Amino acid sequence: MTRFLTGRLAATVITLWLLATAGFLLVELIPGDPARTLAGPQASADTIQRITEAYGLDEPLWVRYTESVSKLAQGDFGYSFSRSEAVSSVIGRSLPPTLLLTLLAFAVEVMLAIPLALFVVGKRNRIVDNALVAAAGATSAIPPFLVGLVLLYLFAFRLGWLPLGGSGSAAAYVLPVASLAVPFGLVLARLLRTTLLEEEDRAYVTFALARGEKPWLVRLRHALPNALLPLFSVLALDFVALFSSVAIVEVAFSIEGLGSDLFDALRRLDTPLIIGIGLVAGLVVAAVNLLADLSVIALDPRVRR
Amino acid sequence: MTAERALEAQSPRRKPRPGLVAGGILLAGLAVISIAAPLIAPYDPTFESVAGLAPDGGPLDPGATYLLGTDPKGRDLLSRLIFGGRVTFFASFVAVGAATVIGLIIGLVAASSNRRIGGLLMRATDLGLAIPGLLLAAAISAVLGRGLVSLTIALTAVFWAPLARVTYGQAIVVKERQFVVAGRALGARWGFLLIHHVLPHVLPIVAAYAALSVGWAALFESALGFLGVGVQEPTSSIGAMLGCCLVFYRQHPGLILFPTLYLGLLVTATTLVGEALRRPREVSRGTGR
Repeated sequence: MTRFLTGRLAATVITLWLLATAGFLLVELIPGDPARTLAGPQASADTIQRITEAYGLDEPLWVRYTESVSKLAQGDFGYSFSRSEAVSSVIGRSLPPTLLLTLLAFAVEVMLAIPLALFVVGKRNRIVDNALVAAAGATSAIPPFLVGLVLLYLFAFRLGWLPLGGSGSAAAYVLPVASLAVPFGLVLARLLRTTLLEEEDRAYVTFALARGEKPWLVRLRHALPNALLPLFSVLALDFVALFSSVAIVEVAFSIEGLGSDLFDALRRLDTPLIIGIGLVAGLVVAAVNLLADLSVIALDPRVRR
Repeated sequence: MTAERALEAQSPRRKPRPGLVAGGILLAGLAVISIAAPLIAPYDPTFESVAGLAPDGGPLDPGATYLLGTDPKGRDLLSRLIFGGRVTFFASFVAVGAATVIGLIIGLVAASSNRRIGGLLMRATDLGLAIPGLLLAAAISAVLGRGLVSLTIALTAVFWAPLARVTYGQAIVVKERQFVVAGRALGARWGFLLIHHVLPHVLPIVAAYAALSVGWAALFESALGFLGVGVQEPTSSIGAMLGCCLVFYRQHPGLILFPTLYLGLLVTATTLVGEALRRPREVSRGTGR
């Protein structure tokens, strides 16, 4: 157990280190003189010289590399020139709304998938099965941000039932959450249906039914926990996929968050901000995977050795 | 190899597969439209025409002259869709092809080498899976500049890792199966066994995953274009068409709707093909993953 955990932590640290290295290389590889970019097109040779010295851009490569990685390790993500403030304060402001949206979408996804899968398995009907497969296929054939735009057009612009965007009220979250949770929830319901059907054939289900328990109760109390367990790694992947989809959905719904920051940073080539967001995203991904492993250990006594 | 084939032909898995046929026809249709784009498209997709703009300077809605209307620069939307779909389709297809070759090589080498080299290759693959694809693609296009080539490279960089993972997962199962072990016992060289006995059993599942990946790559391209990364204006692509028009789509929903429909068709086609290729294998795969 401890060996497993230390291994996972080491892997996380190595991943983050490689991300930081990749970020450093990115800055090195982008064509052009960073000092000139910082100073602007009208800057004199003297100004550029001073910026070069102030930022240590004339130091050898490995000096700058160790410097930048050790700064990142201490949580100093540098200065975002497009925002004129520290990268850490931009991220500190934008991470909470993005995480909130991801968590909301994730909660709705799971709350949609579980009853739907239980219903479909209970029906034992080809038409219902095929309807679920078709719905899951259709909604995942277009990306969530486009589902969002279509919903936005219908419900906010045409019908005027919900706000057009922003994050001011609770109603503003309905459409972004729906556009993420519905496609993901349908796909998850499909997977859960398969694992539920596998559990139905087990002896403990037959025994419970033979004892006279109601089928839906057997499914809910006995089959569901066992069917959910193998899906934990899928859930972790889903959360990660949601997290990156949220980034784009934010842009579509003009919500202030990491995604809209990334969008701006990409347009203005604000590399410190891009690298900072990349590292934070990597950290979230690593944390979620670790959490999924831990919850499997906590829930499944067979894994604890 | 022939004995294996004969056994497989006997097994009762040759059922009609409507998904494969429908997906194949759809995919072939989109491929024909893409290849013949210069012949089919009614206008030059990059020609900005004053006739294509409404009196208030906005885009035109669908009509007789411009079947699907025009974009905010007065370019014919149908022509941009045909040429843009071609760019998205081509980039996704080529990128996934390259990613499949890379994935097959890494997966097979990792499965056939000792623990240290195999472990190293698979840790590298895990890393490739862990890096957020959007950031990776954005970084690559920042370094190489925007355009079709850097877009294709970026898509390849995002999609090789899952394909390597799938190859490896299947290869380590197949290499323990009796016919491979028997081949080894008979003294066959590993390279021979790998090509003639392991690869034929790895390819179907990899092909299924690759077919699915083409659709996912197209989805990815649309997200990149929406964020303003990807091909360079005035080149059209599904992503570029989505990225340009967020301001206008409330008045002219066709600007978003038509590219979305094209994307939906392409992804549905690849999903149908991929799922149809995958399903019969999963039933017959008695040894588990």
